Amino acid sequence: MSGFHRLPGSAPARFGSAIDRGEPVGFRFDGRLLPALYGDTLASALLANGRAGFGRGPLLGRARGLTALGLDEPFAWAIPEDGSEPLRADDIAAVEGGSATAVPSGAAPSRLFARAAADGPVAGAFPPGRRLLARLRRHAALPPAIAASLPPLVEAAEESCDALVVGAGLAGLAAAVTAQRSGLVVRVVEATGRVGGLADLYDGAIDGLAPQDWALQRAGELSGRDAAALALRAEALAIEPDGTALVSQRGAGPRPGPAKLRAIRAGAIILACGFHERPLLIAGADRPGVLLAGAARGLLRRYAVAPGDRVVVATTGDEGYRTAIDLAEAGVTVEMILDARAAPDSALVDRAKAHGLPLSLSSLATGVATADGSDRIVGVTACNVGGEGAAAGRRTLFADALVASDGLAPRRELADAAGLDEAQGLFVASRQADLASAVRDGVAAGAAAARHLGREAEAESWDVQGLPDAPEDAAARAAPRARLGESGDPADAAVIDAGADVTFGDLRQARLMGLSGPALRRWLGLGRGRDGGLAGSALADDVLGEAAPPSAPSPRLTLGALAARARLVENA
Amino acid sequence: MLRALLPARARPAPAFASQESRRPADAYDAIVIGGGVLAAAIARAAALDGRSVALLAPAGICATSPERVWPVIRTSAPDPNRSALQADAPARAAKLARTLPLSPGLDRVGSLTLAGRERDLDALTREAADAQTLGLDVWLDAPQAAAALSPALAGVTPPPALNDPAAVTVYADALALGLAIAAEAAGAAVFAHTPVEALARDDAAVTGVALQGRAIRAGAVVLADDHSAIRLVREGRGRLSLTREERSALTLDSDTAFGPALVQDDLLAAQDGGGAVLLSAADAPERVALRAEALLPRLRAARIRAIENVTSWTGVDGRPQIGAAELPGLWLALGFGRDALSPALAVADHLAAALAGDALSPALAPFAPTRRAALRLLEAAQ
Repeated sequence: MSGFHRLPGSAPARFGSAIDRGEPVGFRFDGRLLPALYGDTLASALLANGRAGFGRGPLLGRARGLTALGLDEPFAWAIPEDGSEPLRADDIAAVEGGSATAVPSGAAPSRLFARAAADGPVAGAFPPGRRLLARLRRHAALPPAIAASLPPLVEAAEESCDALVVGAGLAGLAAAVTAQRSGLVVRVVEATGRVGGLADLYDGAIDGLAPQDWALQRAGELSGRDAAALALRAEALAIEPDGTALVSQRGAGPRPGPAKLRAIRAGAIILACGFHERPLLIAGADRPGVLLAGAARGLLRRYAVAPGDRVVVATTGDEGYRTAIDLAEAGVTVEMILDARAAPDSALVDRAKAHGLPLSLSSLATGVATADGSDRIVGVTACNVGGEGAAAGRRTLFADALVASDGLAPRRELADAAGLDEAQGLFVASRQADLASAVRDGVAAGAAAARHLGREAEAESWDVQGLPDAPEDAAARAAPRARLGESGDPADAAVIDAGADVTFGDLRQARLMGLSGPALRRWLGLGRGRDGGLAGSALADDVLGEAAPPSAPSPRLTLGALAARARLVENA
Repeated sequence: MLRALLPARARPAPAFASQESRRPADAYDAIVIGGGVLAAAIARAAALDGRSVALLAPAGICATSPERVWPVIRTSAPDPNRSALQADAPARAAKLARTLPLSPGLDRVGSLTLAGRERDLDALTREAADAQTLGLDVWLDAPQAAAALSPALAGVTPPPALNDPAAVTVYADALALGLAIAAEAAGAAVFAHTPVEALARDDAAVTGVALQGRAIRAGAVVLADDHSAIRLVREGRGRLSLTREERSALTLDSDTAFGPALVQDDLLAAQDGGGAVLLSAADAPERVALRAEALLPRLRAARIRAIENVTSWTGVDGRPQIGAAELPGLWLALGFGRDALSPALAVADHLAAALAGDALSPALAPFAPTRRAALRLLEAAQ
């Protein structure tokens, strides 16, 4: 058997920290029983059962899998038991007796006809009949269904605190604890259902504890002093110019219910929104079986789920090596590490070499090969960074999964959209993605916020030990795009925004028609997927050569939530 | 497979898309300033008349914000003179869409104008009577009929509504781009990202434009972009007698069918050819959301994809200015206000005919910029 599977019980105990192998759980997905373990999420339970597909792309109709964990997943979403809005499959806990349903892949969200007319039939698109149906469903003035219920009114409440921390990762917890110890009333809002962020994906020690244990201890300290300090599943939507944060709060468990709006007025706001992993521009990288290095490591460490038996790792930095070492230790064959850098100089590369992992420098993954008639990956095509013809060294590696990473980038959407600075009480904590920087920047932001509010803050210097990453290599990061820019056909298959099904080929065609700037983004439909384009934003900015306008609101902001905000203001 | 069998599209990329810089020629019969639907339509119509035309777009070739947030082409308008001007607008757009190289995603969904505070039932009744005098198929519908027509209004009892079943929605960006490509195919020179620095004048007449330090002569300069026009005319110490309106526009993602475009007072809601629902009103974004939620509770769970501010200009008497300005050589097509798209194609054809020396269409007479002497008195009185 190949593809996603659960590691055997004989694997090292550090894999599967979130699950309890001794306690099976019966969870239903789409009405069918899904064997899972206590601690699994819907995503990990599906993958552990070898079900890699999460429906089809809205426009091109290609099979899609899970590519990321947490906030960055563009496509693997499902509808929770109570039928409220879709949630990320990684955010739905698999509990005994619970259930969830797949999101119907119905009408395409965008530009079906404008584009079909612009560039003729799209290879692999839905057939014309289906498109016509989607069109009818969207546009025809059919009478409303009699039983259709209206979405409920969004409940909203106002509250206030001294300091609001967005994100309960290492930086956020360090900032919150620092601010709280100085005597401030602190609120922490965390978008996902767990604390620690990426802490459990990194080896090292903080204050002599494993990073995730340290995070849990800090979270305990926060809640111990003030039971209301920490709120999970609370996603910050926007920060208003007067320092009021709008937060979408959901309930826990398989019945989260409709989201409520919290308008939190804070004297200081600390943004510790963490980092997202940039995808690599690879033809076919939207297939089930291609995932980001962080997601592969998270699945292994949290749920003991491996992406395949023979895995190729493509990377432009050290992040891929961390996952390759984990995979090897979990007993998965690492077929090859393709590193776009020419001569990486880092401790992690040396560790990978010490593990005897096969390594190919100045190499790129260019695409995936699938078995005839199925979406299953059977190989990964690769080539050298430079060189033409024979010197390009085109080759196919046999593998059933591809792990790709283009390094981590800070999430800047909230900070950019807020447009406030430290003098106005907005502090940014997440700047660099390694253990020492995360804790240090968090403490500094917490202390600065306390000073801003007139408190003396004691900046604790926790002792942090971990392997730092080598600095980013700009030339290596630019290589995949340059390679795709010159070669022909695979461009169509290289997805820029997986949620909205926008490919590199679309971009090229739109450029040929003279589109640029905001009109180009509108035309392509960037960000029209479920995730609002968050997952592909870094890639899109990179490929377009310009940053998105900072005005794009959070994908969780609905008309009802904005109206609820207006009601709060009017009633005040 | 199918793609391999079909010949590659033979259409070359438009010249305005190329990266290499081209220079405008020294003289044209007409220069059109603007990059939206109206400007591209004027350039195309004039080029089809055999004139040598340059389209100078201050930014990219795409619909202007007022055109984009109300992507609806209707037959009737509150002002009977405008109804007369745009009476055949949807049919004209449908005919044009078939000839354009790029589909503008035209969809005949109709439009409903709901009775509100500003435009109450009496005003709508008058508007319906005026439109019927012009021979338009526009009538008042009872609340039940309006509710049955519009899936977006599910869950509310709407007020009576003026039904304009011929109205179409388009993908405004695609329409502008398609018109620009067609204009180029007809012989016009199209330049994107080419802001004009100033109007070139000798004593009493406009003789062309100043661009990148050069003077480019033109028999006629047509200002078809409100923002550029205000800048150029203001710097030439002229006045345009326009009033501005600030609106907030929300772009929503919605999977459910929206149906006819909806208007209530200053609140506009329609689904464009790309599937996005566009809401706008002269209010703060939160207030727009609140008002839209009251009217369209169905959309409560729809995700807001963009929030933007849109400025539109209208003549001080509520009418646009179309035709030759007081200054010889200068032509205006601006001040269309909220409903900018509906009259655009008709205006383009009438203006192109006038540029070719034909008598100005009588439909344009009420909009002549030379009525501005009276307008200034009106302004002073206000």
